[in-house]
Amino acid sequence: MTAALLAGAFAWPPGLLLLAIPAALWIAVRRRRAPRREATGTLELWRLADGAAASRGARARRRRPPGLALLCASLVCGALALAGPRRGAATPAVRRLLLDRSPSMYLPWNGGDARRIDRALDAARASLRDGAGAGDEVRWVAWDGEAFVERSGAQPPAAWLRAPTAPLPPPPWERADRAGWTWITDAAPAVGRRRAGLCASGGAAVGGPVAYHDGVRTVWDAGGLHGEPAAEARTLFAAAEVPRPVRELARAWAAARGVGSTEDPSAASLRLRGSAAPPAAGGVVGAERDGWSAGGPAGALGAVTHDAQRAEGSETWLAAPDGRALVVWRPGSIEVAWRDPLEVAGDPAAFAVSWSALFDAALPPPAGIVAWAERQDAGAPLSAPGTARASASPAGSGADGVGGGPWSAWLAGLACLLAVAATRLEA
Amino acid sequence: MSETARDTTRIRFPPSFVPRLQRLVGRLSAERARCEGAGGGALEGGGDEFVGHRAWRPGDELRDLDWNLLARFDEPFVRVHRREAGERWALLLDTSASMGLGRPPKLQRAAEVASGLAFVGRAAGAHVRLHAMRDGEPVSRGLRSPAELRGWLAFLEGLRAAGTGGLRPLLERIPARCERVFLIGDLFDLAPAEAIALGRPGRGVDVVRVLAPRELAPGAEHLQVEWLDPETGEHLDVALDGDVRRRYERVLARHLEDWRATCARHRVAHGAWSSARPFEDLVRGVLFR
Repeated sequence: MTAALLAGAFAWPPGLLLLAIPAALWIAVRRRRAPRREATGTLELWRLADGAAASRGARARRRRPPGLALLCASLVCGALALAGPRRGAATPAVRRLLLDRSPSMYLPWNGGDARRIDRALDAARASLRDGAGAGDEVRWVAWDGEAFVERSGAQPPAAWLRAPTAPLPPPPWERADRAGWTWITDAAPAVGRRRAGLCASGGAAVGGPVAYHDGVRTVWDAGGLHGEPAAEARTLFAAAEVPRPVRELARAWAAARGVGSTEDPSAASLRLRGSAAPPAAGGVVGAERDGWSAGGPAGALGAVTHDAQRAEGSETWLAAPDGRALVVWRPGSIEVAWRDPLEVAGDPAAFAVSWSALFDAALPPPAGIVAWAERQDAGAPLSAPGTARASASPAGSGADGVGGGPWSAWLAGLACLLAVAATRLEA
Repeated sequence: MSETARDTTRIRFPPSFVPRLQRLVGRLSAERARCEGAGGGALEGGGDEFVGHRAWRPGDELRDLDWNLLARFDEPFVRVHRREAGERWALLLDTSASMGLGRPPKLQRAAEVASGLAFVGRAAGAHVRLHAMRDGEPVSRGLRSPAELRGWLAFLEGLRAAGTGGLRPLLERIPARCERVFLIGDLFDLAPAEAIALGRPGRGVDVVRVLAPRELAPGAEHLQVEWLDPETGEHLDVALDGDVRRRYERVLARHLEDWRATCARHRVAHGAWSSARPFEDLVRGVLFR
């Protein structure tokens, strides 16, 4: 805690170690000047030499060391100037590290074992360890596609270090350009950055599959773009418990998308499951969305429960008026609480388009497919400090100047003045 | 022997002291015999037995000048007479508290010097008696034979540096017939006039001053020293910078020079030594100056 406070209050806390010099000097000189009691047979001669009248039991004069005091004060000011005090930074602040989880971050870095996300995190950790504000509380932030998600801890959540099943878009950088924030990405975003800090891994372009369609993968490499047969096809598993309108629509969608069907849920790319529980008493449960509505008996959701799966990225796509989840999905899985008979009302086309969009979102791309734009050259590594309590990159102190700006300058000047005064006094 | 771990107010003779003392006595007695022919300073005296001549030195009395030789060689010579056996020596040893100071303590060295003088004197046939203060009372011990060495040393080891007695109370203990008086101590409690007042025809007076090394040259390790007089309890804070240290050295030099000059004018021998010097050096310095 003390280290954290010091790190927050000074640009270079090790400089405070120099305070030991004036302390040691003061103690040494005071000890040297402390009167030592010593017997002598020549007291009268000392009295003549000292020229002062001795008094019985009286406290005799003691020579004060004003020059020493000034010199020590000068050294203290010098040490503080070197440490670089920072105004208003005595208490730890919150530092938010925004981790870009877009697909490019999970590409290899310059052909090595490390990934771009690993390199960027290394730079961020280095700035946390060594830079200004090293004692601040750290919070990790990611964009989940709709909002910023925040987690505390010295390290980012392990799940964030794994590539998401469904590609996530880059964060809305302009909304994250705030004091105390640091962007952790691979290439510096094109948006203007004024207040946030930046730790960018950089990295050379990484060739590989960039798209998949109808059994053919499009691969981008040094020779440009070319197609090649996909080694594995994507498949749909539709459970029997799923209401028939949804199940039939899913099969039609799969046929249109070139997605095969399978009876083995463990081998399916997209699993469409129904409720495992019998319908609860209480009649029909209705809901509406995107211009259609439906109603039917509904049981409790089974494998993909709302609460249990929320942390893994699942979300409710359709809910009853009472808040009960009716359709929950996550990449690779859709679970429907409705059971047959399901009555669909409204525009049938709207019903089909709405569910097809859900199937598209839930169908994960084939493994290794990363968009062409994500595979581009990210440039050179880059670190830049932010304003106020923003990123404390290794280059941060250089950008701010050694020490803490005006405080350091004032202290350095005061140290010089005191040193001159001490010299004159001693002279 | 360690000089630091023991009570500095006490006298303790190490086992090596006796052989050192015996060697010193033998050596000085032999030199004395040679010096008598050449007119050795401390061993010459106001006796009647003529032993030879030596060159005149400042301070020699004109009555000792051999006018015949002066007329013949145009060089001043004095007549040297051997002291008679059986003359009386009085050794006055300062045991005041200040004698417990120094490394080694001044009292330790002064006692060793007194022993050296006593046994050399005894070897020359003198009747020696040492006077000192013990527990505020004057005490004395005679030395009639070298066989009394153990008792002599035991007597000295019974003395202690304490009180304010110094030498002054002992002055009246000097017998009327006494051909040689040695005042041994730091003598800061005595004025030169009191020492020279002891001189009289047929009596030599030797002032043997033993000072602590730090009294002769104060160390530089502390800038602020509170000096304490162990006899009076008075103390004085002194900022021991270079100026004060130099002034002290000048004052001390002037003090010693005053003593030396005054004593020289009255044919009283005077010498000051550091207690760090071996006692043999001091004894030789006293007897052969």
